[in-house]
Amino acid sequence: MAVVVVVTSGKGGVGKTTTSAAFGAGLALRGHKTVVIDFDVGLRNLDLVMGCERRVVYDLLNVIHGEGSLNQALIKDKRIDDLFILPASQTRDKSALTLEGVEKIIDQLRQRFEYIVCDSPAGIERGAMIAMHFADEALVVTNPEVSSVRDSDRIIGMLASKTRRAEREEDPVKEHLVITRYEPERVDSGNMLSAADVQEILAIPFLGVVPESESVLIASNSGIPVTLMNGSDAGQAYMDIVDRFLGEDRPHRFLEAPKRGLLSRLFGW
Amino acid sequence: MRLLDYFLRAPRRNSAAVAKERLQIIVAHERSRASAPHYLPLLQKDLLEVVRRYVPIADDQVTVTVERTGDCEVLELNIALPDKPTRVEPRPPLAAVPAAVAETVPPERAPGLEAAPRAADASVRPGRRRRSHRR
Repeated sequence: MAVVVVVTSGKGGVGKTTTSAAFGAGLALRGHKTVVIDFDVGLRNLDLVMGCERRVVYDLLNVIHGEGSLNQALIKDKRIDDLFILPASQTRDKSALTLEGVEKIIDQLRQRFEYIVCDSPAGIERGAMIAMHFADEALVVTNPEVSSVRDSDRIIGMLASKTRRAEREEDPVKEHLVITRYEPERVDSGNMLSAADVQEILAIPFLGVVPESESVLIASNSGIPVTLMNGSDAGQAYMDIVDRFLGEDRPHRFLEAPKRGLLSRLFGW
Repeated sequence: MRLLDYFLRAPRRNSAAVAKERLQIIVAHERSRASAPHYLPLLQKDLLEVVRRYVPIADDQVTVTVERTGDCEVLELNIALPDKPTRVEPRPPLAAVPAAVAETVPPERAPGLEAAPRAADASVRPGRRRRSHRR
């Protein structure tokens, strides 16, 4: 049975697309047939982050409006066998995205994939609501920062009330908290909310932190999901998150600042 | 140079603790508003009209909130009555204790809450006494 996972946050710029790419690639690395759908009509970026921007011919809206088939629109990743991308339209009006059209596509994708990852646009407008509508599970991406936490809380409220599962009074969407851009040093100095603080406020199950890392920018510069970059701390953090999502037991990493010696503490080396 | 910083810096204010406290307050507030029954504004308006039949009060002197504690929803009415008896002719039983009207009202189930799946209590608290600004 296929699982639809929405990657959402409310606030923009917290790492939804980075997370969608890394998480989708991670699921495929673990041998699960995965498709990542970009719902950000007019501002698509998943193709760029995943390095397939020059292979986009047909997109989500072409398929909805019957201008191309699903097979034509699906882009197979060149690095991992089980990974596919369904890009958003860059030119169409957002109103062209319909609930009925998306439902039809997701139903077809459910026949072919194990995981359908929906990369939500920022905000709480139409695109974001449609991206979360058919979700079975949700990754709520949050930065340890006041505006992001507050927006995540609103999104959590909507996952509980505005999704198809809520409308049909089925089991609620299973939520997971992913804290990105985490800097343990700043938490230690008392100027960044800790992962525990954010968990306490949002009160949903915690999947893990992704440390602030230069490899995230290097990965997106190169069009590689960060989970495919060797030696990247953020990539490792995302793989832990994927494994925990799949039910594996992985100890939490990157929550503590690396220990520094006395000399380096005194002189700032 | 960290050594110097350590001795020279001003006492550190923990901004994360401030952030957490502010978030807890605003998030709790927004959750309660989001989960409040949709009829609340109408109920407030009707209550205001009823109270005004006996006591002249301003729009903001009746507040209606629903608080959720565990499995129980508590409907809280807060009616602030002016200190001085009014010139409006109140009905006799209420005239005797104008400021304590709220307290004499037995807790009743609010209409509409009857249908709610969760147990609902309506508790009425005596209003804050405000000095009225009437001439």
